[in-house]
Amino acid sequence: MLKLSDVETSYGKIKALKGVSMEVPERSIVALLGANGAGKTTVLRTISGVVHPLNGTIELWGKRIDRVPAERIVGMGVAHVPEGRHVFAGLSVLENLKMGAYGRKDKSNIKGDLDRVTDYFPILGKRRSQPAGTLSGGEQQMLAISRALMARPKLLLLDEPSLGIAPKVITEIFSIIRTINVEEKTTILLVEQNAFLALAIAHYGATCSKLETSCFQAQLRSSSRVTR
Amino acid sequence: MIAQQMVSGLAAGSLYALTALGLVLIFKNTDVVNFAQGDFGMVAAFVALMAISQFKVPFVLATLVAIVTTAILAVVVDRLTIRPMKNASMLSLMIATLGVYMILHGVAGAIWGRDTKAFPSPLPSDPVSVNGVVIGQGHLWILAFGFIISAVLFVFFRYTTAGLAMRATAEDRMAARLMGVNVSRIFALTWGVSGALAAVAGILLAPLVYLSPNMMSDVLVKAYAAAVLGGFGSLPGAIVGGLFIGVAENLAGEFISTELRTTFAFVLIVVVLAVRPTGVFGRRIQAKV
Amino acid sequence: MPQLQARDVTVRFGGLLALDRVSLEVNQGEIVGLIGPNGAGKTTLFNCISRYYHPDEGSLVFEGHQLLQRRPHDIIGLGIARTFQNVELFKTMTTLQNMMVGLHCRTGSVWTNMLSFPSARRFEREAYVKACRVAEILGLSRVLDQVVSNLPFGYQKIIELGRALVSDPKLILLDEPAAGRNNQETKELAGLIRQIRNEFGITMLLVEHDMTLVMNICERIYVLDFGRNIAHGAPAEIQSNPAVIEAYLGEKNALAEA
Repeated sequence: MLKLSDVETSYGKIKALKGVSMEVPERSIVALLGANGAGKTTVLRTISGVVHPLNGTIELWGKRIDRVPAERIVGMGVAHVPEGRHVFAGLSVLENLKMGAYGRKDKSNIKGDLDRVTDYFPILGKRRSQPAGTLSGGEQQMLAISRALMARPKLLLLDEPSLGIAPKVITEIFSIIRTINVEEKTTILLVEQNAFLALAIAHYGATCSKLETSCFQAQLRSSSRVTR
Repeated sequence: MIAQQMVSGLAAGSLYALTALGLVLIFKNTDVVNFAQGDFGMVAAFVALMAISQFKVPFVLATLVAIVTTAILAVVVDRLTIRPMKNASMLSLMIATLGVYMILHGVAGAIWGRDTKAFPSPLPSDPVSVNGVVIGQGHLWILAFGFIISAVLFVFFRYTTAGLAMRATAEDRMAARLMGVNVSRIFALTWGVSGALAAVAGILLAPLVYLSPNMMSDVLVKAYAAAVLGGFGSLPGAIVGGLFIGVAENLAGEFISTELRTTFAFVLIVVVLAVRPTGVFGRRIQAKV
Repeated sequence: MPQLQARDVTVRFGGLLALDRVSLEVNQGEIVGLIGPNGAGKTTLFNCISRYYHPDEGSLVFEGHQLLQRRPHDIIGLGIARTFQNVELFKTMTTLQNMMVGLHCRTGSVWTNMLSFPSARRFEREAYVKACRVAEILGLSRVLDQVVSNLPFGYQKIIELGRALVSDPKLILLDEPAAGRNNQETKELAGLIRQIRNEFGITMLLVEHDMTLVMNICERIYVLDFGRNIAHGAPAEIQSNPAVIEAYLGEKNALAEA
């Protein structure tokens, strides 16, 4: 479904990715693991068009997307939940969710989708008129994921959903990520520092190794094998 | 007497508020402090006058033409001066808008001349008496328009998708892009709306003063004060700040000294800011750690 | 007598009780964990100790000093340094510059610095040497001259720890030091925190969600929920405490079945 070939990305003079190749099969959950600074976040940012690669190609269902700007990628079915959540703090929970559906043409279905995503995270329904900035870290992460779902993505990019969140809430969020994968048939590319956690729900793992940043793919199911 | 001064103060304050709204909108959404905001209003007044006196266009249509022209002018200013400098510091951008201010001044002077011109008002201006208080009708019209436009803005930001997208962009540009918001279009819209606000202020002011390239200078300075008083970032704050300054300077003119009315208003602002440095509606900027 | 003693600290935000009579004691040289759900008040307590917030009630004593009578900028001079949940570094400065800021509290007056007296220059040099040494311990030597905003989050957190260390603290408050680090890097961090304590005798109080780190290095753990102390004890006790499992840890293998 998604295919990266020799993608190179840099921020100014600093090279962040030096030739990343990977594939994400449809309906799978792929966990992208690796050390700090290996470029995992940059991989997601390059896919969603926040930065454009210097070289290499990114294909979504065989269609090149590496020159498409971020604001158009979401319309092609790719939603990106960025690192640090980036909810609109001054907007209410409901307004955040509406922003998630901003680019959609089928306005009539949005109402139903609002109910559907708040079914996954009922706490958001309770807090719908509260400013997003007043939510706790875990709730903000739930909101960021739900907001992305409002775009009805085929591919969901999740950047460190566990960052700064209590263990019990992490478990809740991760099991819902798995539910979303099954029920919504959404393909998920997950960047996560906590390999045990990520591989507990992933079908495939890929690692970005330090400095080298070439990714390879391995079929993994048991979390015990990636202990390094 | 007080009631009369209050009403004319509120009217003047509405003009400050309208101009301040444009300033705050541009600042919130694009991080630009726009010195040319007042001149957008001046250009609008001249365009309207030209349409009425040279092309014999009816007043309402002339006003619409002026508003649209100014909105387009503001968008063009954004495209030609601000957008190419998108990575520049805030100070550089401020200087750039100061440059736009100079250019608009010069061009307006060249086209329409530096001598003052009278602006015909189609609205009746004879004073009316409400409960024994004599009020200039012109003031009432300004108040009414100020109120209507504030209400329209409120509805726009609260209930429309474009308004929501604008607020989201002001909060977090990257996240807004990820939602599919075309940020450069939002910037253009911001400048356009701000230009239109300035145009309304300019045309409302025009019948009360004579047209000249400098006609908005006083309004602009007070609009800045209003924005700062309101917390420079809050739209309701800009409105309240504008009205406050208008009333304060009128009451000071009445009871203290006509010469010192502006001085007094600004002293009051200094005092308010000393007590509340973030402005009346400003959020305290203390990072959550 | 404990080095740091918080007694019945209460903080209200409007109608919300952020901290409700929270007490805690930390002894010199200990590594103590502070855990609990998001919004339980952990960072709020840190903010009280570093004097960002003023508690409505309660007392905070550090080595005999009443902290609540001190101003925020006195705190580091007393020997309490901290790191921040979301990293508060000077983003456009390099790693080295950021770490040298940590010594700022020890410099002389503004005048001796501005006039560049020999004492000030000597001080600059010492600060430089010290920052380099700390960087070496923390494995930051490679990025000393890089601007911090270009570095990954995990690095930035360590630079904050470096800045804290450079100020010669007696107690460091660590706010989520493991955030943004993978399992291997968290393991390295655990070694580092232990090493700092053992070599320099610095007391560590840390807020953290990564339970492998907390259970691994902390000698004692305090648990907060809804602004209240709900448990306190050694890691093993905490892990099996039903109240803590219910409020915070969750069932251990909730994700394993599928």
